[in-house]
Order: sequence, then C-alpha cells, then structure tokens
Amino acid sequence: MKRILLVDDDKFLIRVYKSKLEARGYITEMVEDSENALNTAKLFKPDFIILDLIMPKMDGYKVLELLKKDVETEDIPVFVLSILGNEDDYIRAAKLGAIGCAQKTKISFEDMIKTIEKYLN
Amino acid sequence: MLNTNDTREDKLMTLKSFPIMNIATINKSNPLSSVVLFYVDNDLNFYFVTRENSYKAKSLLEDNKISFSVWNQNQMIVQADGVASVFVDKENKIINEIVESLKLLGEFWPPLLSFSESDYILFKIKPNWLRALNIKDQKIATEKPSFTFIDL
Repeated sequence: MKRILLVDDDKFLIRVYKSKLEARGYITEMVEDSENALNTAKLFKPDFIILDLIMPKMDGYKVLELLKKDVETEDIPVFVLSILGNEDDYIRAAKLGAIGCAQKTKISFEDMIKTIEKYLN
Repeated sequence: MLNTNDTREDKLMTLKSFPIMNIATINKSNPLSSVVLFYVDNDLNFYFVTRENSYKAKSLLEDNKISFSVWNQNQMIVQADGVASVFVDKENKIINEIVESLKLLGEFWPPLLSFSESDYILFKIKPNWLRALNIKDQKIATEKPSFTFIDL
C-alpha cells in the first residue's frame, strides 16, 4: 500500500484528509508542526507528500527546500496545497521542486485523489 | 433498529450512528439555526466544531443557551436544550471523534473545511433535558407524540 505524508497545521482538515485517504486504502501519517516534517518524512518514508504553504514556525517553502536538499527525501513527490492562489507562489514552489500546486478553495477531494493516483501509478 | 423498550444505551448508540444535528441559538435576540457535525460522549454531552468568526460561535459566546435536534431517518428524533461552553481539547480527542464519525457519511466533505479565514472553536453542549421519539414504532395515528425523556 502507498504511503502519504500530510503536512498541515489545520488540525481538523489534516485529520479529515487522513481519514478519507485511509478509507481509499492509503497508509498516512500527519505532521501538524512543520518543524517535524523532514524527520517524519525520513522515518515514515512516504511515496507522496501533501504540503501546506502557510504554517507557523516554518512555512511550506522552507519545508520543501529541506525535503529537496536531503538525499533521503529529495525524490519524494511533493504536492503543494494552499489557501494562496497567487501564481508567483506556485512558481516559487515549482522552482523548489514541487510536482504540482493547488488552491484549497478550488480543488475537490476527488480531484486531489486523481492527482495523487496520477503520480503514484 | 430501535423499539419501544430501548434503553438509554440503545438511544445513545443511535445518536452515535448519525453525526449531523440542527442547532438553534440566539443571535442578538433573533433565532439562528445551523447544521453541524457532532460527537456525543457516553454521558450525553454533545460536541461540535465551528469557525471562531461564525455567527453561531459569536451568538453562543454572547448567550450560551442552545437547543438542538437530531433526526435519524426511520429510527429516531431527538430534541434537547441546554447550555454550550467552549471546550479545550488539548489532545484533540474530540476533534478525532468528530472526524471518526465522518466515516459514517461516506464521501461527504464538511463545508466547515472550506471556510478557513479563522481558527476553529469547539463547543460542548450539556443538555438540560433530552427526549427521543421512536419513529419506527409510530402508528398511523397516536393520541399524543410518544416522546420519552432520556436520563442525563
């Protein structure tokens, strides 16, 4: 079974994602404190990461940068999901190595699943 | 399925099987009705989460009186009123229970998640009274609705 790491400080949203992804057969792990994202990724060894951009302590860009600089995590596809809808933010995330970006207010859960399946299959 | 001899625990189990309820609050002297996801504990305390800046949150912070009803198709109607208070869920146990109850609703995606302009606030409702009407056992006509009060 494929493993998905969720990084988001929204405590309700991240749990709903986890529950619904597990119902689809994925093994998931969640990180609410972005400072733990890198270490959890190394331990959990996910096949896919869903990363929020706006988080306290360490934002999603920094997490993405750290993930892509580390040999243990550099090849894991990271999809950025954010409340931000600014194209510049997506370009910045893509330059840092994100495979895709979506605005939380414009993507449905079904579309999110399709995106995950596209990269995992 | 419920019948007339159902115990408090049977009613509790029915309540745990359907996590959506309608609440009514007082918003600046006007009635305000909302639909929320809820979790009920074994002591019949009800919990729901909303956004801090929602009308229902603001109204409950001004006036903690609340009434609510749960309608479980072909099984039971529950009516209650009580008082709501902000609940601090340090270990996210209640949030986890609410998310767990979402599994009962299949692919449902809570609208609450779409409104992210403020943080969440969790309310606990302690009922003053709570009564249930068994729909399954209702005859074509009755002299009066056969609500039964549930021990709190």
